[in-house]
Amino acid sequence: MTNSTKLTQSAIAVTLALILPFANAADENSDDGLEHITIISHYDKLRTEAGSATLIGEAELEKFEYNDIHRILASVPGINIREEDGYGLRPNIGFRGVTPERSKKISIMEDGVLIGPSPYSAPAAYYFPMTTRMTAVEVFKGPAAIKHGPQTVAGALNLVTRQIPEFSEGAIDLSVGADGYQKAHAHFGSVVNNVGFLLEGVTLKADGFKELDGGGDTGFVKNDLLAKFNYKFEADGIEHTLGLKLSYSDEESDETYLGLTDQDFADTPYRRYAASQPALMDTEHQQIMFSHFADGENFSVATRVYRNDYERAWKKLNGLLNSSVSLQKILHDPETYELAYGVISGKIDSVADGLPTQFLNMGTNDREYYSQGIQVDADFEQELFGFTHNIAAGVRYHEDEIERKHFEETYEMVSGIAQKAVPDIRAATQDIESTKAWSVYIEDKITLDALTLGVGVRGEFMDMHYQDQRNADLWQDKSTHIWLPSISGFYQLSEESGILFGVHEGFVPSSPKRRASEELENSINYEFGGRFNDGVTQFEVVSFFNDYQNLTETCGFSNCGIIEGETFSGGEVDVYGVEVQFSQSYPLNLHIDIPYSFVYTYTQSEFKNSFQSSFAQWGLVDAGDSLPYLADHQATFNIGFSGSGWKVNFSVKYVDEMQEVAGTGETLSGSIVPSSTTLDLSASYDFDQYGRVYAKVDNVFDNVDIVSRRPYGARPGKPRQVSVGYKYAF
Amino acid sequence: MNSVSKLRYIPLAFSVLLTISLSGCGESTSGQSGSAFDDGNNNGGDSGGDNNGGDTSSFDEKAMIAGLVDQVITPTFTAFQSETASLYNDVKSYCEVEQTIDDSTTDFAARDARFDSAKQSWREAMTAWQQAELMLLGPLSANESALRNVIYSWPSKSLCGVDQDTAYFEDGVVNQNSARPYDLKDRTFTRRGLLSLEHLLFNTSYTHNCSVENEALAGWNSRTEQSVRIARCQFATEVSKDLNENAQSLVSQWNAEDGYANELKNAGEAGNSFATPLKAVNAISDALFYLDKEVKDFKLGIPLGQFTNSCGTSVCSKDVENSISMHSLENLKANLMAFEKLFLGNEIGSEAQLGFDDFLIESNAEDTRNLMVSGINDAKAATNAIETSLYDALNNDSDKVETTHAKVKDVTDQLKNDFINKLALELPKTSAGDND
Repeated sequence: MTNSTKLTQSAIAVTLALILPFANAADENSDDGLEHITIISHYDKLRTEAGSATLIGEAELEKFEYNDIHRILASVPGINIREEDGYGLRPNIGFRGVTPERSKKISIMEDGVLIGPSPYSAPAAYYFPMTTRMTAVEVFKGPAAIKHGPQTVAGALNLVTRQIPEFSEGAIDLSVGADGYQKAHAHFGSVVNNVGFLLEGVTLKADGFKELDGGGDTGFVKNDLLAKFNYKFEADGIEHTLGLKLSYSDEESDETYLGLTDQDFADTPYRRYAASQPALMDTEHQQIMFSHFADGENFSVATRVYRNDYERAWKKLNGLLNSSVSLQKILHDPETYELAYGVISGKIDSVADGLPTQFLNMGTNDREYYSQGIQVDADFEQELFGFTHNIAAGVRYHEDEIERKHFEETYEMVSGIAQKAVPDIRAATQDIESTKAWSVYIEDKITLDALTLGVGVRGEFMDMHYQDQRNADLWQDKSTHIWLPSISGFYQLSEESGILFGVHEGFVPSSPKRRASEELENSINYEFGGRFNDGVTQFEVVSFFNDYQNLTETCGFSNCGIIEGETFSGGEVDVYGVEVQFSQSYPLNLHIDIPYSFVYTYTQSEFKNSFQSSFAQWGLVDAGDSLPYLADHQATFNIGFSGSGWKVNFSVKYVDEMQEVAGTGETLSGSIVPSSTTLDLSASYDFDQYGRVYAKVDNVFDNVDIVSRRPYGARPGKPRQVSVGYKYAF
Repeated sequence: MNSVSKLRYIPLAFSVLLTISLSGCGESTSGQSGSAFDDGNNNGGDSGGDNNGGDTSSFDEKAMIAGLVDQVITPTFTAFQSETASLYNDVKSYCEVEQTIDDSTTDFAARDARFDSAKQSWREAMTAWQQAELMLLGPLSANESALRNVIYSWPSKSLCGVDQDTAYFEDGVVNQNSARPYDLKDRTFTRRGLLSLEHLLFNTSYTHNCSVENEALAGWNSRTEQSVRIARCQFATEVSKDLNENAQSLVSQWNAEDGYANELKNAGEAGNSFATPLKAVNAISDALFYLDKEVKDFKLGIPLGQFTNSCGTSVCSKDVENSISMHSLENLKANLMAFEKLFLGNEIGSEAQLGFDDFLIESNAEDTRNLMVSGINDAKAATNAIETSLYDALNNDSDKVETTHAKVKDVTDQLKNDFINKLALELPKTSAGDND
């Protein structure tokens, strides 16, 4: 028996030993169903949970009818985001300062199940569920994240799909807008002979807001289908729910990694160069999940068996053949690399007399993923030794894999059109990374008078395998285990206020390809704050401090813009800040209520050592330098006006400037993503049984801002987009 | 406190103890890897191959580094600096005569002699530089190779850019904008250095190379040949002066008290950027990979049609490195000579010095050493067998170029595999893989 097997078994034993004595305990909050992973109180009374957890419910989501998770999360403090395509097709989300790159350092779930294409082996979230059909979004940070791995430094994001209704109900939602925006969304659910079902479909498309040199679309089409069935019965006083969930989604988007030079951005920010004409992302995702939910008087146990399959192929410009200069460098300094820039922008042909040839290297990163597993999550309540124990425990066996089948093709620029030059394709990366992982957690929340103390631990046990498909000797097998303790508390000062605190160890698994000898990324995270809620005013201030023993980064196409798979260690790093939430509702008169809220995040970060890194976002770092893509200040102010039938909502978001590189000596060193202020507006009128019409304007002032210069060159956010829609529920 | 009260705290104490004890357990990672996997130690593979961690404890890495720095790299940079000084003097001297030529001149012998002398100086400077190309370390790789590029921008080049700057220099302002006085130091590297001089000194076509004629170039193609020659030699004087200054800068940065030469030689000492001497050895071995990418692929593979080139995928002589001066073959020879010096510690036939060959022997890898030495000799012989320019050989005798490519590949195949593995070195960060 190997060490890791022994440890795995001992972990299970520890979990079971701790679970069994409390198997008759209770959880009073089981009504929210399987889709939610933790029951978060709504804001009508003081929340007494330790740890930061935020719930955005259906009513909040409906206010702006956002399809872009970036915009939804603007109302959650402590979120750092790097925008890319303007539509949020491939989100870059980080919490409390972790890199937002492809959301790879947060645990992303749908209905409590890991939904990233391959959360352990390749956590970059190239698949992200369509937020249009979600009815709630849950965000967990700090010790609250310990129950939801594997990424536990930052936290977890759970997207909650529509629940099967108790009675027949359905709705349609149609919307059209600028730049060819169209949405059609419908669902219907009912219960027949104790069998409940829900069918839901969404199609979303846009022609894109960019102007492609030489013509062509720059938009996307996404389709999403969901079917859910359940069967409820009662036995021995326990309510059982058996569930089956099937989902399918696909996407075709004419998206590229290629941005613009700063000068071209200033002249024509929505331009796209001719070399990005062939760009296309083509994806398909399927999920099947069986679930069982047992809800007794004193306990609840949820069991989920899931399988996700995902395929994607993204064709995009990787660089120029016959040149080792990166696209980032060319677009940063087009005068120096005038020939390469001329070819990319279509002004110069790839083959021109008297000039070196400059063919386009068009790469297709073709990948297949799967992710499958079984997990059991249980909640119990137990009186023991005079204290109330609320115990949450779980165990999960998970497998995932990514198979890369990358290839490259030679294209040439001819009179402003990028066309295939030779029929051959060149194989690029051909490899497989896979993981088999056990994870366990237990958290005991003990109530000691006014103090609720949470003590928990999470264990992760991973066996990983990497194999290059072209070189039989290029492989690695590695096993990793880690225990992550947490302690948190909430002390209730009064009916309306309390203070919270927490400490937990976070960790991010390293990919199977990464050397076993390299240090893991982990951190000790602290939070301390207070809450106030008198039913009218809700106020929360939480300070946090993430003490990284070793911050790691991986270079990839999307963050470095170069063809490397290197992993880099940044050593000790401190990230700290304050998160503030405030909301209130002001009754203007008996008919009009004005709810408003304010969310503010202050974040600072600091490398503790000086070092030289080849990582394109770090460079030559001096101790004291701060992390890239982390704004000092972020704030969102939401205000709504509602009367009889009508509603108007405004949302203003401010993001401070961000640096593109931490240190010096890299191409983008010294470059700044400027601060931005964006106003979104929505309005609706309810015609009662005839449905509801709504209109919304994203980016009302049509601000043109650089949202980042990665992967290659300056990129704009979404311009003003006006859309109108009609929603009918029955 | 009574016993019941004490009992109340048992679960809490248990939980805290559990947490503390588990945090003590911490974490662990263990692994096995194949022989081709770079596990960072090069000794982790216990299956899949015969990866040799390299028992190198008895080898004096610091002595090898000192030898390579003092006997090979520093002399190469110094020689290049000296060549650029001669080049500047010869170009300046030639141009002084060129500017005296007018319609009444009947005897061009003095001008032609000085012109030939200037061109010969360029060839010698280029040959010296091609050795330095195998030593792109420290000041030559810092700041995204800024200093290297202003000396030699290849494979980036812009004939149009050089033509424009010839006109700008003549006018004293950039594109007839009086607000922008011309200063070569501010100009991008494709208008400077050895490639710019190649065009200015060797190109016998006197029309400009721009597809769009800007204001500064208006009327250029109707100028007399002599007026273009004067404009070119004047700009060439400025470019060669700048080149000489950059070469001086290279040598002074390299040799400075806190320069890179000392940084390499003092590797492993407190405060040094190389944690161990082996890390410094790795920096030098990274430089050797110029033979793989630049020499094998760019200088030979592309013109041979092994990669897409200007002619599609067939042999394409115009894609050679220096197609105007026809100096590409000499460049290859210089590249191989520099590789040999770094590998052996000195040229074959010179006094023996510590080099990578000795390091391989000490690491029980004499076979690899022998294969590489014979590979270098075979590659040199293959270049010597080409009796014309590389450009002509590609057109008329491409088999010999194919042979040269194959022989260079024999060396780089060893370099990328056994050489790296046996010496416990890491491959340079090249486009070897990708991630997400």
